[in-house]
Amino acid sequence: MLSDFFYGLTIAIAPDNILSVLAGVVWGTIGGAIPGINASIAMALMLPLTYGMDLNHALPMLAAVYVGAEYGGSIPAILIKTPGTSAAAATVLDGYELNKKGLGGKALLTSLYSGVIAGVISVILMVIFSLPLASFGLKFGPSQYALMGLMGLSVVGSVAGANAIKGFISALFGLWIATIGLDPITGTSRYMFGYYKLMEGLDIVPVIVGFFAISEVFSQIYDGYQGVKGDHDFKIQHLNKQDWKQILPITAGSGVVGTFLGALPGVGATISSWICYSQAKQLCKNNETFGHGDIRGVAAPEAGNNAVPAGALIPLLALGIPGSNSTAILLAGFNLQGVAPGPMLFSTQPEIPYTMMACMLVAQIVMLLVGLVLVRPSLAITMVPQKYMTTAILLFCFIGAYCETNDPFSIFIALVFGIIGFIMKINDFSVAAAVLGYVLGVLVENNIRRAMVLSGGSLKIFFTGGINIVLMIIIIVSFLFPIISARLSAKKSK
Amino acid sequence: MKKFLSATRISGIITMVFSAIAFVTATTFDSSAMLTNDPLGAAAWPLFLTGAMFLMGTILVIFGDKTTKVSQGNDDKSESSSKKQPVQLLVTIFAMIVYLLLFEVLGFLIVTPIFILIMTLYYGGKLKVAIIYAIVLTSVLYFLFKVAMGILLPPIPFI
Repeated sequence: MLSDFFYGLTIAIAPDNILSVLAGVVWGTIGGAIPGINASIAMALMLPLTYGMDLNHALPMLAAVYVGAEYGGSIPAILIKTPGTSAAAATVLDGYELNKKGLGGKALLTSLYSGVIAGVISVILMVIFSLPLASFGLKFGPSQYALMGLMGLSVVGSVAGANAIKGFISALFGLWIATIGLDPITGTSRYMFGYYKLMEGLDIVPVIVGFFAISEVFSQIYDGYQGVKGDHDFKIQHLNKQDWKQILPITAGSGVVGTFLGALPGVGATISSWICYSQAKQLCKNNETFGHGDIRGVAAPEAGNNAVPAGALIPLLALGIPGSNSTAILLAGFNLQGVAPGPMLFSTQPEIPYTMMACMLVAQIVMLLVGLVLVRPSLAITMVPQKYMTTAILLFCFIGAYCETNDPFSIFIALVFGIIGFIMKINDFSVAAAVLGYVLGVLVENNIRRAMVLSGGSLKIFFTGGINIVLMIIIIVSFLFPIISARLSAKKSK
Repeated sequence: MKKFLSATRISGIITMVFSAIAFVTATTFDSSAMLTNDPLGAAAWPLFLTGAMFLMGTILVIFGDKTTKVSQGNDDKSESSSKKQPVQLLVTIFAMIVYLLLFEVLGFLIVTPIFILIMTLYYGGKLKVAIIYAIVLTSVLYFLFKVAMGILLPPIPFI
């Protein structure tokens, strides 16, 4: 296994290979940074170019786009509160707060370093555990997915803000939004009121862009542009020893969790980033600074979503199963090259999967360099006066929302959720909790119902098996821990 | 009465009304459609969510401002207390609606620079800078989305 990997590494570090990885990372980062263009769209746009390319250049380039896009999404999330991809939505919470304090550069560096470290960890795990992890992932059924979704929701109490009840209402509202459209199990129309464009539910990009970016623009206009500092002098505060001590354990933990979540079909980077943020907040000491500009709140979701690409490659390479849109495009890339990924590939042509793994490692290093080059130019965004920036953000949000469907209705949805988000904010409801509910809503509902179908209506299915019991314990601890720790600290202060 | 109707209680009432409407709507969902062995059906989850939302709204109405942590709430308020600009916000929303309505009628390349120019001038930009900014930003958006990413933006009609 290791000899195959090192052989793959010799191919991966060839200059022409590094160039194709560089092209992929740059393209992915740009795509990821543009609202509405996610990893799968950026990869799909790159796919036709790979047709005439050699196998050793085509597939690493596509994988590098995936890696770059997951990082790129965090740049606008931190600087203008507009997540470039939905996976960067959780990064907004602390990243933008850091930027408001004039620490945008530090937030970008945290995002980059934690992303790269988690990416490297995920590649190492992929090399060692590819085959066993893929088969373990297959043991996950609807009940396990539902419990994982509930685990992600356990962070609601801590992103709720000043009023916990309003936080829970926001999360319930987010979960409710996810029910709009045709019910995927029975085909019943829910809250569509005969409007066919709502059949597939609300698209994730307009909802997130509206909730986070447009509502923020509205808040800034309403408040007369108060409270945004920005890195106007371009001085980047680098991470010191203390910062590294804080982010390293979180990054390593989120890297492992993100790799595992990436390996599960249908989970993806968005859910992974929220679960990692949630778990980091629960487990960290002095976690009251989360949501108010804490670098740990940037490191956790960024490590969580940057570990996903390598994780997602595990079932693709080992079993030939694409677990997401991005890996489905990668599978198309394999097919274009006449290669069928799966267990046979490891025995007949081991150099192909191991070269892919090695290229993923190279992609992380290339992303580090690209990211370091991009930090300072990215900060130029914060120098643009608000009177010009406002229009640019609104238009990026609009066109970003329009991208996936080519339908102005998506722009309308973004505008509606911008207004809803703004009203929620001025009334102390939590927009973050609503987004969390919306993102996890489909996963939780569909899998609870599928599990109930499998069990013939018995709730026992959620308490059966080792995985479920472990997940249940984590959920109970996650929900109770903030309450217990708040009581304990209140007692101590007395 | 004024004291009783705090912002928190009004939020609670709105939540109750909204969730009650959504709850009643959910009771009309046809659960028997297509798959009969789905024990929960299409209505159960929305009913649970809206029911819980109604309950939370009721708590807000009963307990009012007691549900808010005082210190953090005050911090948040003090940050954004000065000079509210509701008119500027309403004009922005109105302009966005007009942009949305004209987006496909006039095409991206006509409606976008006009929107940028008007809004930049409205926010206090200088005319010359606003004109250059409208052209540059439209070009950047067009290049990124249409040329680089291949997104089909609405074309100028009759061309």
